[in-house]
Amino acid sequence: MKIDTKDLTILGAREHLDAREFSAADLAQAYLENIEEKNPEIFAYLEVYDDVLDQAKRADERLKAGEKGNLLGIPVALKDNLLVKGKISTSASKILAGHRGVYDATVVAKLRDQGAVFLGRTNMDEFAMGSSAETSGYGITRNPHDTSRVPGGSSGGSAAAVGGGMALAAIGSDTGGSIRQPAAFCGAVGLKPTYGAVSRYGLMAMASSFDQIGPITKTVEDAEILFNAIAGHDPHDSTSVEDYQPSAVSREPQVIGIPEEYLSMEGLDPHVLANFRETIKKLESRGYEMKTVSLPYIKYSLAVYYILQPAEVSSNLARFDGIRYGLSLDGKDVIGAYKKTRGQGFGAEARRRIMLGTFVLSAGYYDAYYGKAIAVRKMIQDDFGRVFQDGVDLIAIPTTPTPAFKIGEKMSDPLSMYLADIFTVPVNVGDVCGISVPSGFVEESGKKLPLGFQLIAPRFREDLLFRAGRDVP
Amino acid sequence: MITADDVGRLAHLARIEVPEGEIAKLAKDMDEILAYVGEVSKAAREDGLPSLGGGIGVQVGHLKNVFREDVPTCEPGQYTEDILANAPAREGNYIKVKKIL
Repeated sequence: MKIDTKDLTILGAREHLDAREFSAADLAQAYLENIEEKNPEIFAYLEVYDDVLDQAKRADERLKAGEKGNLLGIPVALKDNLLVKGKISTSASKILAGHRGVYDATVVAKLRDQGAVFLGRTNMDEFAMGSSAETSGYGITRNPHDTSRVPGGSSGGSAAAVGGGMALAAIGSDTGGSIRQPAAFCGAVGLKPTYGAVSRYGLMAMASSFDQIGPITKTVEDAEILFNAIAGHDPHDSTSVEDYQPSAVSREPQVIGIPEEYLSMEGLDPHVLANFRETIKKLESRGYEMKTVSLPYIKYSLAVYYILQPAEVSSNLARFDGIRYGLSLDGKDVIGAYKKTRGQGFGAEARRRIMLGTFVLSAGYYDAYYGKAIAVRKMIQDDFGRVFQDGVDLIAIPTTPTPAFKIGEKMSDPLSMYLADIFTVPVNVGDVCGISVPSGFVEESGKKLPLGFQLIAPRFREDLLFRAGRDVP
Repeated sequence: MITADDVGRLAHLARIEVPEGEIAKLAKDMDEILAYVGEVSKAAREDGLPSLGGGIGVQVGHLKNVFREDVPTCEPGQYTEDILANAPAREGNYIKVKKIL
């Protein structure tokens, strides 16, 4: 049978699967057809797995045996920086060409156990460093809403797969906005869970003190389902917390804080601001109370981030040396071989960030950059803590300062690319959680470009994001 | 001000070969980025910042001193073949490397 996937959600597909109206194999086949039709232009997937239908048939057997489960038979796309046992994963980098996972990432293992069907691995910015998916070593992904524009990044392929109907849901990772920003650009929901909520085991490390794995979905309900499926303690990740109950029921969120001073900054598109104000009005009409809040240090978030993150990158990416995996080029001596392998294996942005990180950690500059950034990070965390203790349940800001930008527009100016994350980075730096929910469109040259509305909650209060997220238009 | 020499030194420290033609642009980009991130020192001047006991002023995450038993967590040889299959060069059950000394 032909399944109409246009308005299908995880919840909706679940009902059809449980009622035997279609099988997991039918559903997987429908997505494979969508991918075949759209992926050549959009390039959301680097690889579509060759065992999708086999996985779906196994899910059907489990369904027939009477097994129940939210994700049993649900087709999901995986970002290319997650390890899948026996399958290639490269972080979209040439330096990992052909690299195969030796084990499943914990998130992958959990989804596999619950019967999710993995469609393939999605394109991304190389090692998750970028805001447009253009730094991939394997080609650019296009925004399904306007193919002359970027899908956002770094989880651009995952967001384009969901936004373009090529997956029911996808897994991404968010270090400074890499789930929420592309979700906003592609008209999807994107959740950055609290650091420690989801195991990072088997996620290729970019900036280890910020990285978190999270879902990209069509609805807030689906994001909650997928988040609950992947969250929880993992002895393999010593930073995952033990006593976290993702579904813990608590009070209804009532008061939303608006950091007005942060909205007056340069570079915020007036259409985006107008859409944000409209969304706020609608939330007020649904009974939420708005309160102006002050977070004086969040204006430093991006500066803090672009010190700490390259510093962590420079040490995390030191492991790619051409000895243990991936590209290996010869040189006149061992140092020469490292330099050649890394010089040619890493793209321009990865090289730039490694060198920036090397600079900010070098003797003589460490205190001025790294040391200061660590201290200001603490001030930003305290800002959030103070506001959330002061009767505010959630904070709202736009997800992005502009709608999706044109392909190539920011590639020659790295700082302008970094500024695309100005509204998402504070969440990672401030050690809180955030969700981007579609809030409408802005029309540009005849195309409707999606916008995202971002809600931020105290750490480990994802439940508040899900409650209020459902009320966003 | 980041000079071409600085870029060369950083590239050497980071073990990255940078094509000659990219150095000037890289120096300019890094200069702009460092000028922007240098804003953090303004935050530091405006108010007293928390003191940095040996540079560690903030804790990431919420856990401290997570321990596990110091025991093997896999069978001997369980991953050997899969790991070696990823290595560019092998000799028997070893990864083959270039002479270091």
